[in-house]
Amino acid sequence: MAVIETYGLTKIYNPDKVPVHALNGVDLTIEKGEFTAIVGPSGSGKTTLLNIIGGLDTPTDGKTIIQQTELSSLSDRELVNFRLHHIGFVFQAYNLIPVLTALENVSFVMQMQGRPNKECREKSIALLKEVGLAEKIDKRPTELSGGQQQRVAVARALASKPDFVLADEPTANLDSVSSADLLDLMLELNEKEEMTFVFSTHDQRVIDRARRVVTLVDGKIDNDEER
Amino acid sequence: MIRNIIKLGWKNVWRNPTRSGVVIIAVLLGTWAGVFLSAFFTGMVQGYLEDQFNLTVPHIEISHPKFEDLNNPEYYVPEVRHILDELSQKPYVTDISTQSLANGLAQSARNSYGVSIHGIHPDSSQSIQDYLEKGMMPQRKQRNPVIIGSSLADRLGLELKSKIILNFQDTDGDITGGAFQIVGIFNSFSSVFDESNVFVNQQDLNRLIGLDQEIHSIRLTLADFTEASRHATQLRKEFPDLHITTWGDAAPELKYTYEMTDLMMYIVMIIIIIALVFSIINTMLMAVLERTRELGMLRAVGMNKSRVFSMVLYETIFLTMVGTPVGLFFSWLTISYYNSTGINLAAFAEGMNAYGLSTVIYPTLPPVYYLNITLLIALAALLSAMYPAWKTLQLNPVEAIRKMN
Repeated sequence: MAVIETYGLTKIYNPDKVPVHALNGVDLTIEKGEFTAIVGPSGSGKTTLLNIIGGLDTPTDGKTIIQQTELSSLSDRELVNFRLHHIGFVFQAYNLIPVLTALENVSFVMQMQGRPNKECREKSIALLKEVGLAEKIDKRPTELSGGQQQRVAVARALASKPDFVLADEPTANLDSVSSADLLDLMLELNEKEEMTFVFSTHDQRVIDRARRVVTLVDGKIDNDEER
Repeated sequence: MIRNIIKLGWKNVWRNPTRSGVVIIAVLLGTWAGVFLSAFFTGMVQGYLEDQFNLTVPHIEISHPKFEDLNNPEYYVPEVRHILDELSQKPYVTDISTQSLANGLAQSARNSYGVSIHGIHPDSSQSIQDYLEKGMMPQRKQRNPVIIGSSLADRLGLELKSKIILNFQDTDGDITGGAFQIVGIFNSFSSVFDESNVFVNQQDLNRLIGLDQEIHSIRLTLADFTEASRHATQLRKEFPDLHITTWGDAAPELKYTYEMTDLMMYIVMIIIIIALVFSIINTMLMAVLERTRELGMLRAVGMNKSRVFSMVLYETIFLTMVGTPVGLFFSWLTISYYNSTGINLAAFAEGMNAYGLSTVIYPTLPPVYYLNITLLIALAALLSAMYPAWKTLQLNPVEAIRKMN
């Protein structure tokens, strides 16, 4: 079952001045439970593709369908709500809320969904336990290492029970040990819970462990390899 | 969710404790200074009004219609007993005093000066007693006692027990007069009043003028001086043949001062609040702009615009409203303390007395003003929040994510 479908995705920045073709007709289908790396040189369109799939940016042409919903048919408000309920995000710089504890950071997304506080707390504790941070639930981001912060970010991404998780260069700010740990965690979640992960990366060690590698060059899919 | 947004807003205030602390202290000091200054002005104006009511302008004065224009002692209040009986039944009247009046000349061996001569009843309470500096009030048994102001005493070179000649017109239009002995010297809040007013026994003045028990002025003190106009209208219907004036009619400048007090207080407060608003906007703008990435992330993960907007709104309100109650509390403490001890401005006595102002100010502020200030600051907090909160709405999550990466 396809979780993500894109058809003829094209993105042109500055179309009236100096046009930059970030994406040139990308057709991509990602099935449930895939662990897909989007790779390619800088400027190949990886981040643009993830932003459009995540409903953060709109394509110049083409369409994105997430779980049978075409994103372009949604209003701004509906799109924000759609992201809240269907998509999990992990960012390169973790971007946790510094004034909240790990537990509160994870709970916050669920609270935005309107789930009861008790459920938010229990689910957050379970998620933090799952990502190996059971002892750190009351720590603030500044009291955690980069790897631990990224684990909290993964827990936060999973908290909303999304259809898939988008991660833009999730290991870029981590050392090799933390990168490997994070990758192990993501693979484990992928295998155990059939969570779909789509991530962009430059890191060869990450690429080596991906089950599907989509290579973008100049905004086009140059290679799509299943392993 | 609203509770969590409020909680996050509160935690965000303490993200940078130094910066927030500076703003909170600024709000605290601004509130304190504004409120105390307003209380000082109010105290000064109230003191001024009380002094004026006490000594020069009664809340309501009743006299013969021709007396005010002609100042002729033959125009006394007719049927005064009946009128006084009627007035004493009025629940809104708290005090009634009567005076015989004459304008004349006070003479000593050294000099002479124009004065108003007030014939007062020795048995009734007289507000001039509060200002008596030396000697005593005129007694019934004394022969022609008089109390004069310290300024007049200086001008005429007089002391206690000195003789003074008072000349004035009698009911026949002839000039009459008598020798009076100074039994007291008063020193009020106004050097002008002290110089131009003397007080004698009513029976002595009446005897010289040619009257018996008649008086020229009935002075009413009301429970609420702001109701003077309404009561005067009522009294004019009851006593259509008498001239009835309110303090506002007799001294329009007092009415203007009274009406301006509230306005002045709010102008002072609004000026201070405007300064605070800019300080708060500046701080909140910095707080928002340095969190672009975080706010972008929140938008990206599904926080809608109204929630981001309200988070910044709560943050600004907290930042403003933490200092406000503390500032109000400190101003209440300061006002309460100085309200009992008074602020002595004796160093400026000469200038203040020339304007009829007391040298001791008792700051005071009606309780409703504290509520109004709180509402005013809350409104200012809301206004301050608008621009920084609006800036967050302009945020594009994609650009924020680009900044992250």
